[in-house]
Amino acid sequence: MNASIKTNSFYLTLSPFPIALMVLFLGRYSLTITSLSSEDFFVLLNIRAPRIILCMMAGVALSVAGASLQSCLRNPLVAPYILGQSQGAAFGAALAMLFLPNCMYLIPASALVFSFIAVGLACSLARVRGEFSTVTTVLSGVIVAGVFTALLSIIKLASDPYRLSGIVFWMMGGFHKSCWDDILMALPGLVIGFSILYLMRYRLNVLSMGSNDAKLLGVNINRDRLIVIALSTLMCSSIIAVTGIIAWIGLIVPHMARSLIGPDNKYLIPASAGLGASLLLITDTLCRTLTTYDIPVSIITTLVAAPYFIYLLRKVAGGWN
Amino acid sequence: MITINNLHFMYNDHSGIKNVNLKIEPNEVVSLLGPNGSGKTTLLKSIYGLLNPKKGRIYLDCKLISTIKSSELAKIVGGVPQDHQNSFPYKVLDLVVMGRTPYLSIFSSPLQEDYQKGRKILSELGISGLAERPYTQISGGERQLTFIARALMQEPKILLLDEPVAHLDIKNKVKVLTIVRDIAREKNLTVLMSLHDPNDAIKFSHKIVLIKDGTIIDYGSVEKIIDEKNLKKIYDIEFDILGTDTEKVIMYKISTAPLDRNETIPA
Ligand SMILES: Nc1ncnc2c1ncn2[C@@H]1O[C@H](COP(=O)(O)OP(=O)(O)O)[C@@H](O)[C@H]1O
Ligand SMILES: [Mg+2]
Repeated sequence: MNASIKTNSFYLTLSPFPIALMVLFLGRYSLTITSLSSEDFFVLLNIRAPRIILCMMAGVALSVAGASLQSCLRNPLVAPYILGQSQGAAFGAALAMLFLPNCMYLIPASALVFSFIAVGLACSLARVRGEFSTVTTVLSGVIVAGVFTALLSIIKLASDPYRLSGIVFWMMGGFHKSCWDDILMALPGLVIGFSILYLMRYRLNVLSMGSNDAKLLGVNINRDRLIVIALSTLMCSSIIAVTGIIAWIGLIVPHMARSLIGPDNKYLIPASAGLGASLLLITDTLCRTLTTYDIPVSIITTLVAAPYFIYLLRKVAGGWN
Repeated sequence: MITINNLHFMYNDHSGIKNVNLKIEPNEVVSLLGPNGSGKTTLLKSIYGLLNPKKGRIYLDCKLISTIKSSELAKIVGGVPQDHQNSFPYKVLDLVVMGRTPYLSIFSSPLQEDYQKGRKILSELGISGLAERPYTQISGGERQLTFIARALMQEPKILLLDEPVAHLDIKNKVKVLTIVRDIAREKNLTVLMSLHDPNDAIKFSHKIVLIKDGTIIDYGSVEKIIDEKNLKKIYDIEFDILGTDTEKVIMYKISTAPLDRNETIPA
């Protein structure tokens, strides 16, 4: 039993690497490993490689953020955007497109900042009488997300059609514009968030027993929940700041991983990371190869994930065992 | 070991506990008897540090509870909450080992020896066979023992059990309470547990606390506390006390005529 959990989680964790090598040579511009011209090298190095790497990073970030938040709030329905992360980021990005000078670093920076503002607001709303419960957290997230959606609508109204389409495209996140700079911008948040959350893997298990049990076991639950929320926001918002909003991965992947290897975060975090990267890589490859048009990846992730989620809801019928 | 002075805790609707004074000596097993809503859980939660009473003081091991760090408190008090709702399906052994949390920093995980300790406690409680089962799929009695095992992993001095036998059949009830009694003796624990059947309290505790409407009605040794008057005061019905003074048996009486078993049931 234990051995199979270990091997499964090992394979899941490493799964994105062979997939990445495979899809590196797939695409509309055909490449063969045996005969690479200098143009081929250019495509590989400056188009395919950054896209594939960013895609893997996004899979890791969103899935690990989702898994950590699900444990921290002991709720399997929690997604990384639960506290208004994505709406805050969308508002920030739109604001930058409309008002800030056209510089490639300002949009992600503004998206990241506003994502944190949204989460900060939601967290301060969620603290009722010093307590930080799952229900108030989720509801505060809904409120803050609603407010930022409304603010975003105002910006959309004020935008000219050209910028409006930019905003709409940003909201349908994708990897069509990936470059090495994006990777450099997203990497610090991902590395910091992932390493600390992985170090906290056992604490996440304890948090997932619920606030009463965690307190009984001597955990400072308000502090620890804030840390997990801050780190998972850092991780997922650093990514969506450069890719735009990528839907569903962060909700679905931890579920799949949990059903394969169980709830222990020691295995769940690396396995979610691997599975998320693999799934997003496959999805993005479909996006860029299926048609002549580069489909935004969120459209496919939603179309694939929604039925899976419906199946999951039917199967578990209320209980999550 | 536990000293409570003039403790008040009120919920928003002004129910809760009022003016509670209690002194529990080391190594005593004390039962808390009182009807539903009398404040048993509220009292236990105050001692766990889960509630912050506005008025009154609780001393554990002579230390004022509000001055004890939460991780230190968890090394003094271990307990089984009344209202645990299933979380993710952790294995019983993993759940039990979580009892080591107060000894771990935010970034550390339990070691091999913690798992060995967990297995040892499981075997002491006679539930080694459960180690690899998901804790969400075991029976009520097994679950109580699992949570008791987790509390013991904290190596506490005080064990608080909130209705540990509430949903158990007689066999499992006796099993759990016997284990609690024996473990308390072996590990020098002070135990405070809430129970519903006065007979259980008589058989398994040194002292009894009677609580009603948030106030303590009486507290003392089993012989002193258990009489018809006290029981009626608590539960508002009549009781017969049979047996000898050292081995009392309590029977409740009902005011209406008993069920006529020959009566024909109207169609
Ligand atoms: N969270 C709560 N909010 C408001 N009132 C509560 C809460 N918990 C318990 N009470 C009230 O406090 C009183 C004592 O409850 P409790 O300590 O749970 O009793 P017991 O455990 O003896 O059944 C009851 O009147 C109950 O209705
Ligand atoms: Mg109760």
